[in-house]
Amino acid sequence: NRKFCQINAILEKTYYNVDTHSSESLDWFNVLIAQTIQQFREEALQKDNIVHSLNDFVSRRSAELPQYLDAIKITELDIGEDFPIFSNCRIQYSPNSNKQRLEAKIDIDLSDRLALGIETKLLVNYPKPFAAALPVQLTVSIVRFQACLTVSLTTAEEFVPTSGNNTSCDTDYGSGYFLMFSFSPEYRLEFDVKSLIGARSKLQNIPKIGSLIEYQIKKWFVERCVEPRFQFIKLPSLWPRSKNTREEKSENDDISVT
Amino acid sequence: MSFEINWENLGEDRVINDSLKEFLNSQLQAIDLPSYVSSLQVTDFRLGEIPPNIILQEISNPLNEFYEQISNEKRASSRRREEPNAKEEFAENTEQVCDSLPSESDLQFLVEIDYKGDMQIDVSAELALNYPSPSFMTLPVKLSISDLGMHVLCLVAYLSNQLFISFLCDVADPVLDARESIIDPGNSIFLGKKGLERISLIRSIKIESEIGEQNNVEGSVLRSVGKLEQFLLEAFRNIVKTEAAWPSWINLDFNEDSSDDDHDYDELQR
Repeated sequence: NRKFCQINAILEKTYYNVDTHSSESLDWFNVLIAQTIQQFREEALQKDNIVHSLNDFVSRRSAELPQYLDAIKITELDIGEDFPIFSNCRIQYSPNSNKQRLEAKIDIDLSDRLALGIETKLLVNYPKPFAAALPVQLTVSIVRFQACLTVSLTTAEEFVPTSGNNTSCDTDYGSGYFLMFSFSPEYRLEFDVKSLIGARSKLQNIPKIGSLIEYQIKKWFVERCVEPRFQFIKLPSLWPRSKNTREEKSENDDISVT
Repeated sequence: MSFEINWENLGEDRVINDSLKEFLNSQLQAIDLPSYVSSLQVTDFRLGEIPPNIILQEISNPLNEFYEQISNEKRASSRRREEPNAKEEFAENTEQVCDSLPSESDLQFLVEIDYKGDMQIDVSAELALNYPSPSFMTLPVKLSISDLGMHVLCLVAYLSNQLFISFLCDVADPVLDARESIIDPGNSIFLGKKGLERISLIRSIKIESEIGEQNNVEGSVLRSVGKLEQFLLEAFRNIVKTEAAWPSWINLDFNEDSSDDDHDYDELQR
């Protein structure tokens, strides 16, 4: 079997035995990822109107909201200050692949506070539209995420998209390599949901509301990137090209800037 | 007040008022009339200008009873569809899919409704005067019910695209003194199903009658009108109790396939 031989040759020539190789820390990766996230956060904070622009975005799409929701206003956004820690990385044969595919398993752990606060109204459309409204204030934060991440590089041939309506990707997904990742079903995702419901007389932090929100977020997550579902992302070409070439700024340029 | 109520749009709405009128009329139709009344009909229904005050008390999962009803209905309708042929074959398959299972997105509100509004119900009746001889004469009477006062706890559950509304008890009902969670299915409200064990859901109600001028002084006529007023009050209380108070409920189905009836009050008595 050609594929099987190829994979064995790769493992041999990279000095990796899937049975005996000890797991690696990914400390170097954590640092680079943290840098990237840091940069993203700074950009987000520099435009200090990030809540503003999110609100604009939400109000532009308000026509797509379900009938029972009034316009949504974003009241809080916390993009966190900690970084994910990846560790315990090992290479294994993909299960059920008959030793024809390799994948990396990586543990991921994130303790942070990623929060989104919104204000809206639940609309009662019976017996007439907008007959009554129930004001709702919600703050949903993710405080802990622990999971085992599976990563592999692969071609498209063995997989099908879960939504069958996009024909445009036929051309796009035909060739080249893809980064595939997925989380194992035994993930841990902890939430902190704060709710305030009602106009003048309010109900605070109702467990049922918390579980309702949690359910919806987990459903969204599971339907996209928990096994047996994968995220499948086309990798760009890494062939060196002149349009991708850069060099460090010369010292003169630096001085003229400062 | 937890809910902001857009009452201006509701109170004067002809369609809503008329559908409530129809509902009451269909209920009155089912009542056995006493010998001194020959016809009883709601002629006008107005919700009025004053909205109820609605306070949200609790949010939880819907009670099992609501799921049971949906399951039973599904079972009944699937049986109806199977008939007349291939009955046996389908019976086993449908048995499994019939059960209405709780979904994570189902919700139940426990709300306190405080109503002291200006709702008015006009009723016309034919009063049979049995003195000095049976059916000596009949008189048209106009009655109006107003000043309705209620302060009750009510369940509003939403599941499988259906809405269930059931009045539980008066807020001053002694069963609430135990301070157990009212939505605990073992609670006496859910077990004690006899209406008399609870305080009436209607705190106050006023009824006025109008009959032809020339008979105003006749004592026997006035007595019968008094009896009719009493009868109507009882009938009204009974409709609320048997149609909308636990263990009965008003069921509104928002599923599209129920287009056979425009405003279907699927009142259910169990």
